[in-house]
Amino acid sequence: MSAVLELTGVRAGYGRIEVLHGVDLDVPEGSLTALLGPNGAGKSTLLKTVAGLVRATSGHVHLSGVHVNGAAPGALARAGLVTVPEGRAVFPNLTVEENLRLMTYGGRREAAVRETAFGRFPRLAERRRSLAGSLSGGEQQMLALTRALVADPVVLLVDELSMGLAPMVVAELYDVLAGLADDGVTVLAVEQFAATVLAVADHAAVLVHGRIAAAGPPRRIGADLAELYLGGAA
Amino acid sequence: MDSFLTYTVLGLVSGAGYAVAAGGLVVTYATSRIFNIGHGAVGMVMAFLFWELSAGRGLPAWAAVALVVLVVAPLCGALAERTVLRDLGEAPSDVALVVTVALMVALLGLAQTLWPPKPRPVSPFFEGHGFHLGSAFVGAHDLLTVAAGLLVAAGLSVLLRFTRTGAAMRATVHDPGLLALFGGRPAWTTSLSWAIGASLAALSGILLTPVVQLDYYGLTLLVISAYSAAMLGRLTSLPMTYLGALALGLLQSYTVGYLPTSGAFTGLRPAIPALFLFAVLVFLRSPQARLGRLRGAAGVAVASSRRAAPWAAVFVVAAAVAAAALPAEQALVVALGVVYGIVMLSMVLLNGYGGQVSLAQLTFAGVGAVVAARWASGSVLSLVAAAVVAAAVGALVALPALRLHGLYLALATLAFGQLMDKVVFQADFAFGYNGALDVRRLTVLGVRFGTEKAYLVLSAVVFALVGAGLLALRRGPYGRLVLALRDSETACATLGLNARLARVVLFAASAGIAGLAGALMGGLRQSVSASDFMVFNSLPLLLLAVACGVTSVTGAALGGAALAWLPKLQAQFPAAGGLLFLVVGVAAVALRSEPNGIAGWVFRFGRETVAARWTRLSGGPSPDAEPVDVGPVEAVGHAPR
Ligand SMILES: Nc1ncnc2c1ncn2[C@@H]1O[C@H](COP(=O)(O)OP(=O)(O)OP(=O)(O)O)[C@@H](O)[C@H]1O
Ligand SMILES: [Mg+2]
Repeated sequence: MSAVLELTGVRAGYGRIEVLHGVDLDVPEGSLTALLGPNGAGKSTLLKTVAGLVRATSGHVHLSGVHVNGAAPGALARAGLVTVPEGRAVFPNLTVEENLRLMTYGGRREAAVRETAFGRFPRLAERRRSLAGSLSGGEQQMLALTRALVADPVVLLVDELSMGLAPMVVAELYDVLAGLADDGVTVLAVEQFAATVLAVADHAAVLVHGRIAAAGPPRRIGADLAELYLGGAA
Repeated sequence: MDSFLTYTVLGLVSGAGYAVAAGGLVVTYATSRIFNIGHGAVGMVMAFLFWELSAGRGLPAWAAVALVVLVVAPLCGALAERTVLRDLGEAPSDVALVVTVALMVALLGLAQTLWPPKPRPVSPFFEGHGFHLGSAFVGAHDLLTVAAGLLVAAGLSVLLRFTRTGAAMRATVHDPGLLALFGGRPAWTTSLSWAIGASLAALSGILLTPVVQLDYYGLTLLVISAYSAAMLGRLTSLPMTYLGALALGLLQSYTVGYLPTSGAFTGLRPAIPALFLFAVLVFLRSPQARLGRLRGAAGVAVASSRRAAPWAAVFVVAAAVAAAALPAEQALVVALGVVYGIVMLSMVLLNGYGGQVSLAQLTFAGVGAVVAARWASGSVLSLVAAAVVAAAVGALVALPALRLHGLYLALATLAFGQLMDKVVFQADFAFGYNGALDVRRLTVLGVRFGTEKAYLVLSAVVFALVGAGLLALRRGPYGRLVLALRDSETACATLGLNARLARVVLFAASAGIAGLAGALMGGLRQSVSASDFMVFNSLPLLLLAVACGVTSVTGAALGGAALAWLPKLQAQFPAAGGLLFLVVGVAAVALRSEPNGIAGWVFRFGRETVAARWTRLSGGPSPDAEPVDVGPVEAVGHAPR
């Protein structure tokens, strides 16, 4: 099993503030890897660095063996890296259909995108002409995840899928991610609350203070989590 | 009845022209949240270019149109976006406004440099061709214009509603980073929208030239008509924009046709768009303003009275020395600079502290001059009356724009300035039609200020007093309220502060200061006319104020001097004519990265030198940030972003 996404000694931050102090992480092909960690550990920053939104100051990011430090986010997206950032990753001032139209940059036709979206999430079909901003949090997250379903990603990065959602909805969305991983997509999912994601993940890693504090099978990581969060600082 | 049809056709034609221009405004606004005040000026320059290519260089008309509308204008639009306008949508709204005003002034300068004033008759396309509709003749050009209006409205609707590019345009204004994650190209999308906007501005300029003629200002002011129409569509709905444009065209045409051609209504015609705009502002709810983004918080260092007082004294003494040393003729120029400085102080209050922009500050000065000439001329009372009346007029202007965002207030001032130019200032109770007014010089407590030199000292004293007053105000509770308002209106509203009242007071106070300056200018010049206070002269004033530092009293002094000196320079190098406008425009754009202008540099330079001196004397690092004795260190506005 080779690593499709590979970080070695990655340092990154905002201006003079360094947030990631040398991150080493392998995400194996076709796996769902959970990235856990306390608030402010740098999880979102790590995803942004991979997505090209934040530039690594040193170290290397490899995607499918290609060195991608400094690549533009748009170029990475068109090459098959799908990022669903923190918060609601949709355009609230556009309708559901218009949001779906913008998901055709991956090459699929608009009709096909709609079919996939409405087939997987029938609730979106009912609200197709509503502004995305007027959808419920769960519906918005479904809309955001649709992009992962239609863009044929090689690698999928998801940040805090669960934020503000009911546990039922979260479980449903993670099933979608697990399904994608089964289809061969490499998924890296950042989560704050471990239980749901560890139940479906193949691997897990814990980021504390900008460093990977532990990595391994979800079960073992889950057992050690409290200790890692509290003691990881030392 | 016959003439009715003719006027209807005329109205529909100009309405269609406005619709084309308004469509361009809507597209750029939808994509970048920048309202381009220079939109009309782009159309103006492109109309001149079209004239140059077709009439001057003998290109066939269709080729010239294609070249200008499809190649030159889009390229210029995209270039302007890449170089100066990018990310302005994120900047405080007053910065964005000032930059587009600078664009407008620069374009006016460019046009006057490249195409100096001379008659340039423009005939309509396919002249003589057309058909009769009842008694009205519909020219081929008219048909073409109406068709263009329809096509543009329909085309833009399809683009924005039904295409991916259109969706991307509206997406990028919300979050360009997210659009990139979707795989889109936000930078390219924004450039495209500005290219389309410029292209439509060019088209409307060319189509309307036979109506407006090749007139620098007439074509530039198309932005007011286009803006009124776009406002009807709340800057988003294209069909409503189109209807608004037609209604405006008709209204204007009927006014021309049916209003009496003599008396008070003579000047009304060119003022119709301005009146229409006021009506729209008053009766329509505003499109949603950008809410509660916290802007660059103020890094404030306001000079205390103790520190400011010596500098005020130095300023007055310097003026007295200059008055003694200079010949009368040059004392006049210096005094004029000081008076302009007072106008700029009014901008420091409004823009520097309050974050609001007025595009007609000189108009308020004009009001002051009229009052000073007509009432108690020569006595101190006339100064007071000038300030009070100008403040009242200012409050009247601010009231309709109360509910609205700074942009609408700025446009309302532009419309107001135009209205005053064309109607009120021409009336008999003001300057009279193309007339001038004599203003007597002041006598204060038996001391007569009869000469230019005396006025120089007097103006310097007034400047120092007003400046000190501003600093005191800025330190007080009202100053904090004004600053808080600028930083986040929404936050103030949630705190229960009366934002609207504060804004009207701010605007009125600023207008009052300008009125006071106008009264002084009247006395200094002894004779003033409406042309001294034309709204277009307010724009270089605003830009110089910003370039020199609209956040500080020092900046106002520098700016006033620069403004008085410019026409002298222009007189010495007549060839430089419009070039100066160009330079001022470019300087204002360049200085937008330093919100405190040249004065900001001066302060920083002063502080650094003191720090260096301290280091040398004490052999240690300077006790940072005690900028003593470096200059009138005072309110410094937005911290550089
Ligand atoms: N745009 C930014 N500019 C400056 N600092 C930032 C920025 N974004 C995040 N930070 C800082 O970087 C650190 C890591 O933030 P990050 O968002 O990566 O944490 P996180 O692990 O995702 O936390 P959470 O679980 O709360 O989402 C924090 O200390 C944060 O304050
Ligand atoms: Mg996060």
